[in-house]
Amino acid sequence: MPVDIQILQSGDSSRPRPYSILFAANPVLKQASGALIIDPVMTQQAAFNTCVRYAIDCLFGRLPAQAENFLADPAIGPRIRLISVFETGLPVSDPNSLVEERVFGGLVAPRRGRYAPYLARHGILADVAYAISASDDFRRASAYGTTDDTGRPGTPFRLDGQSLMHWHFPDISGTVAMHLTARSLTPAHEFGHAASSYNSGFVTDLYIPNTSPNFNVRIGRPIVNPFATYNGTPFAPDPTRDGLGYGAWNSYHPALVNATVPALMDNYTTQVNPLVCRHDTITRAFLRDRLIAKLGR
Amino acid sequence: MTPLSREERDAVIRAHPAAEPGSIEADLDEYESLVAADFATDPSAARAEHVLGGAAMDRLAQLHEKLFGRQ
Repeated sequence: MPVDIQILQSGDSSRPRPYSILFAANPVLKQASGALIIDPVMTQQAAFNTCVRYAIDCLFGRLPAQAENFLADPAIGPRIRLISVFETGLPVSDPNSLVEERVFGGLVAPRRGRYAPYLARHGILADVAYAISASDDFRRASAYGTTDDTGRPGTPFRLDGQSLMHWHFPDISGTVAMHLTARSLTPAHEFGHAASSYNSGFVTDLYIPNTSPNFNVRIGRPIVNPFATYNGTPFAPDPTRDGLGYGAWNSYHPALVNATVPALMDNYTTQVNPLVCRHDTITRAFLRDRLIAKLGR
Repeated sequence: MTPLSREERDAVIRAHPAAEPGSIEADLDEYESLVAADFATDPSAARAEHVLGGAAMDRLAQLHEKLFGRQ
């Protein structure tokens, strides 16, 4: 089948397996009805390439006036491998379908179990994989976090007295389903989910009233200070959720880097220019440390 | 998943002019929380997709019908 694989950035080639972010055009779309069709993205390679370029600029903080740029750190950004895959002519079959439409939420969603076998056919191992769809009716992106391989090495860290690990290798990579037209902070927001860990700390959405704790959310009142102690450093909570407020919510969040605007995992769409939004303090430290641990594997 | 914009939330609220003030916002928050919950925990590695089960799925369907009027 005709396949166009582009190594957009080689990353740290001195490593046997550099940290890799993959962008694939979704070959087959599972529609909300259950039907399988050739994803409309497959006839739009130029738009796919534009989408990938935008996503990379967003991830690395290169958009005009973009505030969040932790991946641009010279200790991180240049060492990441970036790959795109555009493969046409595949059979309309279930194993070639990386993305499904979901009526609830109006989502394009990753079919996470299908990413690795599809990429393995091309000899690609990704830490975070984006599948780009041009679904006609569903445009909202979603992501699953990484399931770590806890049987391989990791870098230890402490969280609230617990000994945990930044595991170096994924068992199941972080997976994102994103629409061809996705812009704003969507690529960076979904990366926050996908690069985090179901084993060691999942970075969840902050724009909803959460009912279960996760790495970046706590449950209950009063709001407790510190929010958490990470590697010996106490991180404060955000007592007011910037200008948005918690209302009747029972969940609360970590302190912000920029206390005047929402966190990148919160509702950045409330801002005239969402690109001013950044990760909160502890999430930023956690994701940065996690990537550096993986980059050193 | 990416947040709904203010315009998208307002459109849902405007579609229910007879609702008690604040009730649609609360339902929308609950709906969004249920949708997001599917991504916030590790799906079984043996399954290709993760699906909410039981009462949570029933509630999600109920809220979807109320807020969006379609399945």
